[in-house]
Amino acid sequence: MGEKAVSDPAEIMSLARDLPRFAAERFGVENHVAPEIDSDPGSKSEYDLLRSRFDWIVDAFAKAVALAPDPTQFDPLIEVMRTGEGFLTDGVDLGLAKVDINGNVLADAASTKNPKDPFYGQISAMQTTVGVWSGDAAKAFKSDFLPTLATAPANQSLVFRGLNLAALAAKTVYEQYLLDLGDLVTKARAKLHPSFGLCHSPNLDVVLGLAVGISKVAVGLATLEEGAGVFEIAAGTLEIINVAHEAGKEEGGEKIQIDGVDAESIIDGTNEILNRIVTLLGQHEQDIINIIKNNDDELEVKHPTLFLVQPPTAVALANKASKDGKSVNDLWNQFD
Amino acid sequence: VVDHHGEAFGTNLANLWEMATMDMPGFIQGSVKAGNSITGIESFQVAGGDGTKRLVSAWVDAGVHLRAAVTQSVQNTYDACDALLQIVDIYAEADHGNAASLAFASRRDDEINKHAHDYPPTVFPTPASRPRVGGEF
Repeated sequence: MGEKAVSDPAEIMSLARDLPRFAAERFGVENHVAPEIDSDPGSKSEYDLLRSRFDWIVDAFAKAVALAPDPTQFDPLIEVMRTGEGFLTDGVDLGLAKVDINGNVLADAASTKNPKDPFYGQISAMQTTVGVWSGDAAKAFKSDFLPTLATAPANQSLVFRGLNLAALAAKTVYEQYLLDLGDLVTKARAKLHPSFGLCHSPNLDVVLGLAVGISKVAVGLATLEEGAGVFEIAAGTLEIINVAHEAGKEEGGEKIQIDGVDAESIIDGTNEILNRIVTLLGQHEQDIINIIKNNDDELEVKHPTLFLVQPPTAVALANKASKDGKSVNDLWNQFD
Repeated sequence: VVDHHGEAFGTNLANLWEMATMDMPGFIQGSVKAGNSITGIESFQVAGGDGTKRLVSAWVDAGVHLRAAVTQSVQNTYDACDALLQIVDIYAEADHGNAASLAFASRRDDEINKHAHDYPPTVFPTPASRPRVGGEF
């Protein structure tokens, strides 16, 4: 059975704060330093010094934890975009898969091959109303303005859905990032803990491995935040060497042994997050493509103003008509 | 070509008036609500590092632009409503006191009275009564 996953920042830091003590004890065992005696000021001072050498572990975790917001802070952003989309079109009516705040699919995309724009009926009724008017401005109103008015909310709703997914993806990234940090600190703590059998114990490279792990997780996050979308292993390697140097090990260029820390799986995990996001976006991108294809009559990109409703020519006409003395004569020809 | 005289013309004018005061404002109310749902979106903040701040900033920026587009769409639709109302008024005025203007006025008043107690409102006889994003006029 696996251990309970840790992702709470406070819990991660609580576990991290144990690590310098365990690392100092491990160092003592490996280098034949007598165990610490609390009542002996000399022994305590020696171990205080040893522990201080590993304080960077706590600092590194603190820095890494501080990079991530509480993922639940994204909930309002996720929710508000779902709400906005709902006001505009209601995703199910447009044939979009209906998802809850966590991205779980509540209802599949409409199975009908040709889901109709829910506004089509309203717009066609208005087109009928204005159909009796045959002037140029009236025709433009009927043929250009009203169809654009019909498509704009549907297209705007897709943008709402896109931002909803972006916020959801951001939340997922930070959740996974904290899970990775929690996994790292949990495993490191288990490996360094004095109860861990010495015959199977990792050497202090586990500490170096920690630096590697934290660095890789953080670099992965930084890369994601930059929007590159690809884990840049080259940059990660450079960072690892720097961290190794700062940790008091040999300078860069040394082949780093990673014992006891599952850093590779962290990289895999990062890739997994990226793949998950790409898949998630891909699924909905396909949704969007399908909707546009299936709503050919209503959503076809034949107007330059699919997203933003533009004023009809009737606005200019009415303004002109209301200003000059020949208003009615103007209208006779253009809106009659 | 529309015959610009007589009761039938007044009915056509009333239909245009209904478009401008009922159909189009009703149609665009979803956009108004959507725009209102992201009112104040620029105030969203989260903790985290500089990368997080950039991420959220980009997201909020997109949200603000979306709200602006929705708001502008609503405004442009209302401008279209205003235009239709002006056109109707000009035609009715040209036939002042005759069958067309009388038929139009009768239909208009009848609709206003019929829907006077609708909740939520379904007829917006004046620009001031229309729903707006953020409540702005």
